Amino acid sequence: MRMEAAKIRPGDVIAKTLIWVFLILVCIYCLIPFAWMLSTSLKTEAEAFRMPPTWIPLKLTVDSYIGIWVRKNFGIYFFNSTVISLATAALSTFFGALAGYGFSRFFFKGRRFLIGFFLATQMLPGVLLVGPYFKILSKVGLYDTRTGLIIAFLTICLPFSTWMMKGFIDKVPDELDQSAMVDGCSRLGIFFKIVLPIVAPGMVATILFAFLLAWGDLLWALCLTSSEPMITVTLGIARTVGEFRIIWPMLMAGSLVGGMPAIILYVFLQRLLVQGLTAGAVKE
Amino acid sequence: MAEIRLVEVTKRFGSNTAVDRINLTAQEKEFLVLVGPSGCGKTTTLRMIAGLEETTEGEVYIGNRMVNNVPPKDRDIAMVFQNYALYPHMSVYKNLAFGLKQRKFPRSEINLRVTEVAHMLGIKELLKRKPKELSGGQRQRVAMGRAIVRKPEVFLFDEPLSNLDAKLRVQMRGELGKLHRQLETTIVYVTHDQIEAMTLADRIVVMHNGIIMQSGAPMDVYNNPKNLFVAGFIGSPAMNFFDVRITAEKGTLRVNGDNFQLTIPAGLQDRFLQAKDRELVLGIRPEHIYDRSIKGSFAGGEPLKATVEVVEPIGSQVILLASCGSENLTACVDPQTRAKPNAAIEFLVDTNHLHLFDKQTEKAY
Repeated sequence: MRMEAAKIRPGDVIAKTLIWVFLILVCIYCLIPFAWMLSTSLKTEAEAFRMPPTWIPLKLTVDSYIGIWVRKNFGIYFFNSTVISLATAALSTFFGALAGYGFSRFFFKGRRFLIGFFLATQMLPGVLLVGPYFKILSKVGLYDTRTGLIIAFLTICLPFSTWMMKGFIDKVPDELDQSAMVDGCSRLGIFFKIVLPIVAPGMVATILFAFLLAWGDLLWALCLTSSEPMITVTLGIARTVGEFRIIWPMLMAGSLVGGMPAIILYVFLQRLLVQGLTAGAVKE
Repeated sequence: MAEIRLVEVTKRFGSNTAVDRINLTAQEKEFLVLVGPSGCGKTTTLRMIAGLEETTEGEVYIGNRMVNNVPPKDRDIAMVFQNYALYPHMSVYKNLAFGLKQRKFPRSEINLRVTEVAHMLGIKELLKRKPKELSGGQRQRVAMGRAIVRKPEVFLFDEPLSNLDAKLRVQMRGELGKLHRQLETTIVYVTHDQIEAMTLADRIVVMHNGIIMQSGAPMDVYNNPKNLFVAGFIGSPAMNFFDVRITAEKGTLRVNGDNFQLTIPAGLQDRFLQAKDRELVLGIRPEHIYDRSIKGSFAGGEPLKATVEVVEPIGSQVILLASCGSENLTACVDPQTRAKPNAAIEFLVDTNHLHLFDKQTEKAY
């Protein structure tokens, strides 16, 4: 019986092959745009328009990579994007965790309504909010500033971060709080010393979400900033598309470089992220 | 070492009263066990002593200080939780040291105390491990260590052994008793396991529906239950109950059941006389019912005929589940018994240990 079970049947081979073929096709489908971006970014401007197109550049050049830093202010764009995204991620996760802890542990009047209200704000599309935001930020003198953009991103990220962090904190048994309370901890002490370290994987997931949202945004940056020193990476890339001319190799180089931080973050934090997203999925 | 005093303490959750005007004192160095079924209010009482739950009414004293408005950290108590509540991101050492660190003890003192407690509980080798790398018993020890290391006035235990397997529970029970003698601290211990309560306690407090039903030394409560609930709850297997009436014939009192009649011995007659003409419940502990066919086991009792339904040999004794008229009874008899299911059996009841309760008030005579 065991010998029979161990034998590989022809049906299994076909099924396995089909699965592999399917997975390879999906991979190709996902990776072709990146391959095309890489290929185009290494071409001359003339070759980028060549028909039929070439996959491997006839004349390899890193000119566009140098161009985005020298002819465009990609250094400034990167700095702006990094500051804005890091601040958004850190602030929204921290305050989201604080709010999430409050929602998770304190049973006050109107708690359910407030939780629902937080979620409801997520239903509003960004386009709807950007107009009022433009007006408010202009009034308080924060239009075309990094602070203004950070505040705007926080309004989008904070409700989601709160929900996410509440979910993770709910999984931390209340007895740990009580035990720490008896041990001499204040509520804030419990939050910092007990709860936050335990929900660290959840925090990573939340940080990643907020960071990527701020890093990848174009609409808000386009509407709430105007001057060159405040431009973010996405806006900088969009601006390589001129009215009469698109410099494709530079656009592709900018996009690839602009996507790098997100990819690097994913690769390094992937393990923690998966842990965070699946925390509490099984009974421990 | 402090006395704990609860005066007229009530706890309500909305319209539900969890603890109803209880008065309770745990003397200095006493091992007090709160025991009762789930939902009887024992854990709520413990949590009110700890300060994790506010009292709705009444006063809680630790020592001479009223602590109603004192936060848990300032009550000088330590608590061991049912699920241990060890900090999962900290090593055993850090778990033990956490409370001392919070209280700003010098590092040398922390180190000294942690090492001392680790040695006392035999967890010295585990200090670098995280809680997830420990077995249930080891976690239990760490949880106790975390309480002991602070040398508090009062220890509170909330069903600390209920997550352990049967063998480990017996072992830890022994160690807990030893620890109490060593530390000489006031302990309030909550459990639903009456064996734990009986073996550990200096005094047990039986609770039901938020009320204290009886408190006293374990054997005193076992031998003289004040009401039907305590009689049925304390003791395993539980006490047998029969609906009876008492009659007097020629100066002798008799208990008349559905299918049996027992003569009340002279020693109990005065006490039971006042129960005459009332609807009553007779209580007989299973160990006071003997198999008449075993020679030399017991001679002085009154006969009681029944039909055996189930025979459960547990080694040191055999538990017989039998029916006597319309009532069921349990008897713990000598393992030499030849009782078989569906066969008639004649028991002997040790009438010196009869318990009589009023059916209406459920109080004992």
